[in-house]
Amino acid sequence: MHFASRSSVRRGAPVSILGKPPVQDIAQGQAAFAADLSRFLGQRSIDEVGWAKPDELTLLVPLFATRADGGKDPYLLRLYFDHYPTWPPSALFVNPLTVTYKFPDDIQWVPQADNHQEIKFHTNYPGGTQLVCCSLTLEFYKVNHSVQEAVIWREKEHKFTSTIASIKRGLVPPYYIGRSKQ
Amino acid sequence: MDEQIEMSEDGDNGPVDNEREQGRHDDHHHHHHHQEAHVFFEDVNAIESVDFNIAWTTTLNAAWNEAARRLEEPRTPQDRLQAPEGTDLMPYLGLTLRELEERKIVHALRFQIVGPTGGASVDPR
Repeated sequence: MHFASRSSVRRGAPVSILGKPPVQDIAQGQAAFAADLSRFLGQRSIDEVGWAKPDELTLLVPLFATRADGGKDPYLLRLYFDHYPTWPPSALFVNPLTVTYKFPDDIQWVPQADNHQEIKFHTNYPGGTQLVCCSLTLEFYKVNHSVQEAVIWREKEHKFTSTIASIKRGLVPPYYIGRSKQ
Repeated sequence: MDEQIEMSEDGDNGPVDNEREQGRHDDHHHHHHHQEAHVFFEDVNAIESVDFNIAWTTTLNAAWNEAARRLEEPRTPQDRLQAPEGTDLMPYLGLTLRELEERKIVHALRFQIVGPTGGASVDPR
């Protein structure tokens, strides 16, 4: 697999994982999502693990962030697989009532994480999008974020479960600091 | 590393000896009295998991080594261990499973093997 050189992955350079922008492939995404989800679930149903699959490309994952006092804040992570597995799943925190994200109305449904080297949540990244700032989300590449080659998404090495696990790193103390605010 | 590792080959379904059964009878609310802990390791990049019994005196590092052997996925220097809720467990690899529970560092003996990611540290904003 060819990777862009370090100098060419700076913000603004017209390259990402494969030296080109992410390309949607719905049929491939559906098939890969179905296969990986089935592998994860094994004999369990999706209800047993507490997730929901409203359509063939979408996975809804409830997550609980842990506050410093031990309390829990609920969030809903929406993964979308229209570029998967060549690219990571789209990952957005959404309003659980609408299952969408609209800035600024829904920023309370986005967690805040500070000082973690590998994860940060932006409610309104330049370009007008929410960004789960991590090299295992699709949006990270759509905004052409800077990235070190060693941590780039690799189709053969990563799964959507890698994305969920990486996001959870920002949902525990001392990094998680509460809901996003205006 | 001088560690004692005691394992049953068949995980939770393995034979239960009389001493362990007696321990359950004496105080079934205190699982620390059990001779073995039941651990669950998930390799999130491979969507593979393994669970097995292992001595409470085993360090987390040694339990991870055993999980990697059973998963047939050799550990790499980049691999890390975290709890399912996201807590980084790398600072605690030298603790025993018993210490992890007694110090309430983990709520359950479930562990995720994860790799590094990037983004926030190079965010220019």
